[in-house]
Amino acid sequence: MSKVIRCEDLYKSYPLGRDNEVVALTGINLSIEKGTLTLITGPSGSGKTTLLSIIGTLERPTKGRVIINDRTVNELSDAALARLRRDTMGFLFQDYNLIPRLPAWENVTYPLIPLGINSSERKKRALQLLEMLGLSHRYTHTPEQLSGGERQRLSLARALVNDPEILLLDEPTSNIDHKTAEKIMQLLRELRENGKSIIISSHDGHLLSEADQTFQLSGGRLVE
Amino acid sequence: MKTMGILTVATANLLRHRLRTFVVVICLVVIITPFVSALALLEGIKKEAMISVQEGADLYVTMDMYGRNGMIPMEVADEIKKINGVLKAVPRVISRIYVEGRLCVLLGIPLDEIEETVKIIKGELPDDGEIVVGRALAKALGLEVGSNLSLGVRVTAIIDHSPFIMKRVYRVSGIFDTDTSIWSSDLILTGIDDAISIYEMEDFVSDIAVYVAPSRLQDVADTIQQMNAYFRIQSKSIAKQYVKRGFNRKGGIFVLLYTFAFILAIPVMLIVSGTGLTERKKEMAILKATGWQTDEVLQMAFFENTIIALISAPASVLISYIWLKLFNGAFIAQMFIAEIENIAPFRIPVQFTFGTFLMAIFFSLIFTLVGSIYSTWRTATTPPAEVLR
Ligand SMILES: Nc1ncnc2c1ncn2[C@@H]1O[C@H](COP(=O)(O)OP(=O)(O)O)[C@@H](O)[C@H]1O
Ligand SMILES: [Mg+2]
Repeated sequence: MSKVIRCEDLYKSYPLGRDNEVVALTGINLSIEKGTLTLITGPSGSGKTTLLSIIGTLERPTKGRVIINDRTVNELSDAALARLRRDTMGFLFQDYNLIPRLPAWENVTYPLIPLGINSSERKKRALQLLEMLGLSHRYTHTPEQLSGGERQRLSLARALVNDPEILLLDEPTSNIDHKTAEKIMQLLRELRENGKSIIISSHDGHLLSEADQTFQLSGGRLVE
Repeated sequence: MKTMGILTVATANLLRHRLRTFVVVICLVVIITPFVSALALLEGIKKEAMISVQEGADLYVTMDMYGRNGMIPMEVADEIKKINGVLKAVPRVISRIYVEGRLCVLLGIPLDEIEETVKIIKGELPDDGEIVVGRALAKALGLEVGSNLSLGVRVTAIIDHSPFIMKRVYRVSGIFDTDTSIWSSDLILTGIDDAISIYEMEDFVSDIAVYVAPSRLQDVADTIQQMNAYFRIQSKSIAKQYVKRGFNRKGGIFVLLYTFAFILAIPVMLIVSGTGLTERKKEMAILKATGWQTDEVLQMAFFENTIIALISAPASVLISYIWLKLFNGAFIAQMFIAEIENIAPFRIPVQFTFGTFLMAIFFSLIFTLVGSIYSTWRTATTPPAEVLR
């Protein structure tokens, strides 16, 4: 099976003051196969979000390499990274990062604009996804008018709208009741069937049984 | 398709950040409106000057006096009248005079010419020792028909050419209408004989204005020149050129002044565009995280600025139009038209051209761009996670 993502000896540190730094990730080596569901667990502050954003090319590692579909991401320009995200990735942020005061359906359509998709098609796709995630009655609401769980699903709809090959979900079930969480898991299973690679981070282990592969982070290191 | 989408997002952004959009537009209008007004005024004055040249005589004849325009015998007018194609030859005495600190023009022409030149609305044509003044000047100086006015005329003595001021008291015999032209606002008219007597130069006048049938212009000019090699002949086209050149210079000075004002306005625009910057930065980072490229984000920002400019420029033109037309350019007209108070006593000339409008758009765009380009560029080129944390 082909590896869709490989991380080689990843380090990430953030500068703190003049000569101090926070080390968020140390020596991460992992590889992920296409069409699998991967779980990254670890307590809060262990580096899950950092690892997902580096894999998602939202920031660059301090050291080490990320290889996506046999391309070394480190070497790509910012424009090339943006295209990579546009064409192959969907990202659900831990704190949603929705655009304020913008109707739900429009929030979903924005990633389609650089793809040159026309407005009626954009709207159609957005409404489909909102329907699928049980938000169709909320489609004109702005993020401010939605509950935490609804925002999370809206953010998931946006992550899915460009039909991405790689889905990066940062704590997608933390704010959702059991029933809705089960619905979302069902959706993710279907996506995996269709060959999508899904990476989920979670600070608890209740998704463990669903995962094809699990990595555990502790203090920025992988533990066996 | 993509461009249309980006344009939609730009519009939505402006609506979502209504307060910021509003403040930026207001700021731009405040900066651009005086600029547009000044341009319109300058154009208007220029146009009026051109018209007054157009309406003036075809040729002006003076005599060479050590290389300058000197006085010419009045009887030459009668000679010129005899030339085939000459419609009219009007002897004129022109002097600059100070009336209570205002620089005015005292024009002496034959009485029947006064009747043709201006519309007397009160009183009658001047007799010996009498003048007619424009309504604006009369109002400013508190003159009525029958008032006396003391005029100081700069006269150059014939013997030693040393200038001195001659004081004389005139009676105001009539008041004429000045609503239509700024050029007649500080004009005082008197009979030619009276004007000549001031200079103690019997039968010499400042110039002779010659009106010619169009097809005969060149022949008439040649004939006059042959009468006396010392005659100097100025034609309308030369006058036109002078007017144009003068206004281009004025325009240049004005642009220079405004450049300074604009440089001072840049920090203001920077501060104003900075409102809500943190939120906007985050939104741009979200777009980048979800697949927008840097140039697409920049294009979006450019569209936003263009829309703001397209709102601000017509608003400025509209406000400026109201200011100049309805309020007669109060407090701005005096910068461009000499010797009027805060509120002009006559209708100021105003001309809005398409060029004025384009200038307004151009400068609005420059300002919004200058105000936002750096922060936008920085945000659009930073890795999204750095902004989103
Ligand atoms: N921008 C940053 N600047 C400084 N430290 C950071 C920054 N981002 C994350 N960190 C630190 O890196 C570590 C890992 O954070 P994170 O990846 O958010 O953990 P998790 O998602 O597992 O809770 C934490 O100690 C956090 O404080
Ligand atoms: Mg996290």
